[in-house]
Amino acid sequence: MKTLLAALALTTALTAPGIALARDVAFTTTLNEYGGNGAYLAYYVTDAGGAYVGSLWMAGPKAKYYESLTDWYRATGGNTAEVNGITGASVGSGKTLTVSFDLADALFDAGYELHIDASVEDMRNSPSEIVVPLTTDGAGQLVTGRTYISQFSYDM
Amino acid sequence: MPTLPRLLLATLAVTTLSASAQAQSPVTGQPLGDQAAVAPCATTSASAPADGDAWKRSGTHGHGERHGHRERDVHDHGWFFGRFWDDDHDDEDDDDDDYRRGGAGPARAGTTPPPTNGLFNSDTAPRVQTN
Repeated sequence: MKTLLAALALTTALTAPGIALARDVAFTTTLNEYGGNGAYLAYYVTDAGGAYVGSLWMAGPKAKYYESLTDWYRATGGNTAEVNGITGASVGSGKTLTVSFDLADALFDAGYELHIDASVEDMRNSPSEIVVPLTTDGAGQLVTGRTYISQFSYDM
Repeated sequence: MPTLPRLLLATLAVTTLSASAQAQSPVTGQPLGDQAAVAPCATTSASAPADGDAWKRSGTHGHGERHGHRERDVHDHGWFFGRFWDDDHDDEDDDDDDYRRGGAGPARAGTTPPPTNGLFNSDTAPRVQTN
């Protein structure tokens, strides 16, 4: 019995920190009916000082259009390695994109901000259309965009 | 008659007979020109696919049929130029072009782990849904 309890305590001690370090987070972005081609969206994180930390998602596969995601492009130099393995299709007018991640817990309540740059072919660019602090209190709150994004929220 | 002109005459006669024999169909003996004009093309009439996707199943398709969605570009340059001239591709947008050229676009989600930027907790690819 003692052996069993010891084993249980050990496995709990080993797995609990791992659970605490991870958060399953879903980003939900709904676009306006802007009437153009699919929108390119760059999701990336900046720290409390505004410095680029890393990218979370790139909606849009063609690197030649990344220059239109001006804030993201300025921060990364358009380096496609920043979005390797986290790139998908562009998002159509009026559509809702939901992306779910297994994110590091340290991202929340630590001054980090999520940015979303948006651009559409033959239409004007919209850098940092969404800028929202990553906090536990901010989960579930709707944020309104100014050009292509009707609303955005994150849940966890 | 001297020997040399005789030899030339004989060569000319043999060449003429040989050319005449080659112009005959090996089956009917009719000139090839007449036969070619009436011969039906079985592969493009009787067994032609009835729907647009049938070429995928038949496994027989040629230049111009690889990209069925671009009908305006479908034409043949012949057996010689077709080997070197592929104008099926233009500079229009095509999500696959960057990948054909190799390395121009980033790896899609699920094909490689997310970048090691400290934001992701695991190598699991993000899950995406569009409505």
